[in-house]
Amino acid sequence: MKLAQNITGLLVLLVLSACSEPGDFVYGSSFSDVPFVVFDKEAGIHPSKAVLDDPNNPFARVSSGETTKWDIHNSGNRVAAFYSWATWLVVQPTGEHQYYVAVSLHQIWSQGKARPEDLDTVREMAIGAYQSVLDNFPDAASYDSKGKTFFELVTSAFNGIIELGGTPTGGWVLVQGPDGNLKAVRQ
Amino acid sequence: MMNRYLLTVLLLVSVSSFEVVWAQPNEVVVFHDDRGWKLQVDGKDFMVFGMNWGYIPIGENYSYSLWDQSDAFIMQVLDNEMAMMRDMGVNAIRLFSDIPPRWVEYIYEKYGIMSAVNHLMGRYGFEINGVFVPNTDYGDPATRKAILDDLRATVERYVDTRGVLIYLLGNENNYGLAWTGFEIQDLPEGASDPRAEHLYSLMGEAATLIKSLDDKRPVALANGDIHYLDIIARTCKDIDAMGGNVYRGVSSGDLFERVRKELNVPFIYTEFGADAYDARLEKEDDVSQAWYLLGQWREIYEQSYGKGKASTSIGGFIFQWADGWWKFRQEENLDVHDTNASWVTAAYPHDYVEGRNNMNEEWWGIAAKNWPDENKFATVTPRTAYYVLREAFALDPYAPTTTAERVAQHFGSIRIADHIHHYATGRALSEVERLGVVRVSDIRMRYESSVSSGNAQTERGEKQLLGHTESFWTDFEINPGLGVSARLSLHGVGAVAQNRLDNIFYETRALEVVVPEPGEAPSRAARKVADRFAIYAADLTIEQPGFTLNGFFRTGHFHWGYEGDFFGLYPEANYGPNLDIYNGQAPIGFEFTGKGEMNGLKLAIGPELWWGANAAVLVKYYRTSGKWRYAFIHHEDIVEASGAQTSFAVPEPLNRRSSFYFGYDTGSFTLEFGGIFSGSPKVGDPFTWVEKTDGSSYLDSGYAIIDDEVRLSDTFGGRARIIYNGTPMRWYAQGSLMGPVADGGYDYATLLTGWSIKESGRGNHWALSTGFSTRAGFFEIAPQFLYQKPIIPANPKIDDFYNRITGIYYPAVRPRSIIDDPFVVGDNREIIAGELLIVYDPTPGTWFHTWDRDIKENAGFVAALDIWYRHQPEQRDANTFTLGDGSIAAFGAAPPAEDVWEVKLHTVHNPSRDTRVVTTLLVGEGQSRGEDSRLIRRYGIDMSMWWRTFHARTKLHFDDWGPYDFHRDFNLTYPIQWYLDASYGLAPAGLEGLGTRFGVRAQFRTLDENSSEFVPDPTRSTRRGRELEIGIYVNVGL
Repeated sequence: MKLAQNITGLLVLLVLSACSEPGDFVYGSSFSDVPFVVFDKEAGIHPSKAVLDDPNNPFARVSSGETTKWDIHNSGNRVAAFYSWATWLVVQPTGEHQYYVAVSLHQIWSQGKARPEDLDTVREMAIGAYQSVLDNFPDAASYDSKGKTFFELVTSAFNGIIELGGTPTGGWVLVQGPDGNLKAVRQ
Repeated sequence: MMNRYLLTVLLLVSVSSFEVVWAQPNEVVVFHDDRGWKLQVDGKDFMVFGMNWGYIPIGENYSYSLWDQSDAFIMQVLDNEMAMMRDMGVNAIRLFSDIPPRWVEYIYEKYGIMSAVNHLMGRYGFEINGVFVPNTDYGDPATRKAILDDLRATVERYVDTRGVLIYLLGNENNYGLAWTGFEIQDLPEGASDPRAEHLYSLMGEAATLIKSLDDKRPVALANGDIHYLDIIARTCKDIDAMGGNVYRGVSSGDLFERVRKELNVPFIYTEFGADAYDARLEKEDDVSQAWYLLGQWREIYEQSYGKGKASTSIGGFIFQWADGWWKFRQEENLDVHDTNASWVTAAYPHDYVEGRNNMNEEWWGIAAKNWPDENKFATVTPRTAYYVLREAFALDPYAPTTTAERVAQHFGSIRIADHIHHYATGRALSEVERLGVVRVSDIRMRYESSVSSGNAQTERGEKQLLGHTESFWTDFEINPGLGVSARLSLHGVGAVAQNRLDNIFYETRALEVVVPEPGEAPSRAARKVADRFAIYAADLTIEQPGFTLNGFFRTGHFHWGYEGDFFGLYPEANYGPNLDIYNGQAPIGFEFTGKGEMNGLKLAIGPELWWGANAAVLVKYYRTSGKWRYAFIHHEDIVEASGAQTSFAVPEPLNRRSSFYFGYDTGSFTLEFGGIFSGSPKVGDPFTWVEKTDGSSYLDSGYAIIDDEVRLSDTFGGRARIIYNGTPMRWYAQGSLMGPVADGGYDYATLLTGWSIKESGRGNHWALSTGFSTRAGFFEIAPQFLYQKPIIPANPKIDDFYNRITGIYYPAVRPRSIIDDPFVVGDNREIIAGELLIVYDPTPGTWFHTWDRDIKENAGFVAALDIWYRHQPEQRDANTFTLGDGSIAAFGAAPPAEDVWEVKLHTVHNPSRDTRVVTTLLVGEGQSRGEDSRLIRRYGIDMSMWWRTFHARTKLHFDDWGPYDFHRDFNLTYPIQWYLDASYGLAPAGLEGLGTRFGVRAQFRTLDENSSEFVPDPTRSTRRGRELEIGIYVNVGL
């Protein structure tokens, strides 16, 4: 009797399931709808993949395109830029992706684009992302967002940590280079 | 001088007269008077001291034929074994009707042993109108005619042959009416199958036919026991004697009396005896075997002519001369002396325990089989029964003084204990190397040196590179007893060549792993040998009365496709050379097979039961009941695997699957249907799919995009199939509807014939397929059709877009992949396919579609032409690829929809006994497994040749993919690829050319812009790369 009830229940579930509504049509969405709520303090810091599980990440299932990621970066929406770069960092762990995750978090903090109670955490995440550039990608370099100016990322990462009130670890210090500019090196 | 001529003439006359007399066939009659029955050969009384005899060395099975070997080898075998049997007192052997008449005469003339020629009468299937039908329908007129025609040819072949004693018909064919396979099962107790009327009326016609062709030899049945005596009495009036395979223990009870009363003919045992293995104590038991045989022969004497009892006994053929190591699981473990008891009878009480099998099918020899040498010549060691019966046979059963009292006195005086030492001593001598619990069973070594170079258009450049590989295997066999045995193979590496053109092979597993940074090219610097030793393979078998447990590591196992696995949940795990090439560590796990009360139950559990599997457990229950077969299977993934060695074996997310199956046989039709419930862990998982639209579409792509999630209804699937096993045509039709995540697996079972195209094992499709196989003479013609369509189509690639003006972001759509999505469209893509298979095979009994056909096919020339075309109107989703560190990634796209086709001609040519040539010609079009859109058209010829101990293989391919999976993943082709490997060995090479061999090999290929490691010449864009490698090698093996 119990078996019959179970089978009947399963069949009902099956029929209901088969008759349920089809999925939702996909249209474009505005990034202004994307909030920044800290989901995981390690998200965006290599080698964490937590950003892929963040329900607010619009790129969790499909990362932004090679060109579009710069469009998003230049749009001024720091939250969207964070998710875009952090997702790329998981897919392709490079110093450039790690650096722009840090820059995005830095700007979210400085522009107050997160809930007030999350801002301290965002600052810590930004410091952690900059530190990851120093620790994991010490030879990384990039061009600026216009693709013209080449620069080594470790010095910018070092300065970012300082700007956020942090202290770089791992023996990194600033020294004056032959061109007279300060440059981060590991002692 | 005159005297010398006269002497010569007289000599010639006398020799020719002698030959005339000698060439006369024997006259064998059944003598009958009021004292009973007895056989007489050429006027002399003849008690049949017979033996079931055949020669199959360890490691071979029923497909081995002594008569296909050289005359010298046949003589070597016969001279060894017939002399031993003659010395024992054996005067007749029973064998099947494939023995050439000249060997019957050889055995008779040299050893005085006569042959009972046994026609099987379709017991194991029969070729009817050119089609081999495995289940003989004795009521079918065409079947009856075919069997009688063949019998007529058989009798005509032997009618003038000296040494033929009797014609026997069948081999317990009445059991074949009840049993479900060719292996021995429990003996049917009753005799009530309605098909028996057809069977025995055919036997009766056969006996009449033989009598009309040969009036000098008697005819008897080889029945299963004496079942159906009433029908036999009615239908088989021309038989001269009743024969039966009888396993009633030490006494056959009323058998002789019943034959006298109900048939009024004499009786001959066509099989009887006892096995030499105690299933209760799990150890060899040659003493009990001798005790049973002594008792059985005593009864034969007591029931013979003139002893005052039934007087119908005229002798018997002991089953059997030497053990058959192949008989349990007739395709597997051929070099293992299996101790599994496969059927039960209480007639042998010494090892009978209620509820347990006690008959060990591989242990019936009265001689133990010894390991063959490299030419497959093997000796035997007679067991105690040999010596006991030699003493028993010394009494002439028909001497005037051999009364019943004399028989009792003679047999009562034989002491088995007096003969035990013979076997113990003989076995100790032959097994001296095998004594002990652990032994080294094999040592193999391979040394290879090679030199390779390229030109400027290759990354290796023009410099000549030398390489050397030293590889060692040591195999251990562990036999602690009590049904436990294990094998362990260890592998060691000395040096590893790093110059090879094909630079991934088993020994490269020992090199340190150097993973390039992202975007960095792999280094060509030499790597160190970092891991010299590894376990190459291991297996374990525990045979207990209630179960068999098999453990395996890198040792293949078979699928369950013939045991109710209708949806391929448990795949076959034999991977050939690929497992070594990519250093796969699978399969690894245990398989439990229930026996007795747990018969039908199977359980498999392990961290990687097949290559690329998650840690999983599978349980199956499969039973047959009359015409029904049914099965239930459940598969539960436990722990998700990480990483992969090659794209062939990529783990998928954790899954849970169940399936059921019903099969029903009715006449010539088989009906099968089943259901699957698979992918329930994916319920609720999101996915994106597309729908073509003529209106407003997503980013003007022509598609509407839909976000959806997996529902419960997506986890169900079903399949139904009908098979017609007629003559001369066999046909099937099949339909499936599989929910999007209702994934089964590849169907490893062969359906009717060796077609290439099969319906996908994945979910997310519906399909219809049908095909038939028919024969015309020696030709098999087999067309097949398949239509298959995914329920949810593949996703196209649509790039994302950010509208800077509106601030609206349109995410990308990408093809799905098995690592990121709950389901994909892969081989379940839309296909309209047609296939035509044409096989020329003059010996369809040796089926041409088995995996080892290149070695086993025995016809002079066999060819199979397979042509298929696949119309693929829609593209598929994305595949995956693997990186050097074992990580897995998905391609971002898939090739466009393209039709593909292939023509393949495979031939096996045996121009002489020592020569075999196997050729494959191929032309076809194919698509990359990755995302490259280039459709390739490739051509190739592969050829292998064996001549005595010489073996050569060559392969010449044009515009084909390279040898590795990644070549097809990334669509890497070479304009020309040529391989040659020629070797000489101490013994004939097997399929893989193992054993002790000395060889040379060469490889040449050209490279273009589609090839791996091609360096273009900026000044001459048409200039191709060239690479050449030459190597020599020595393999040494025990």
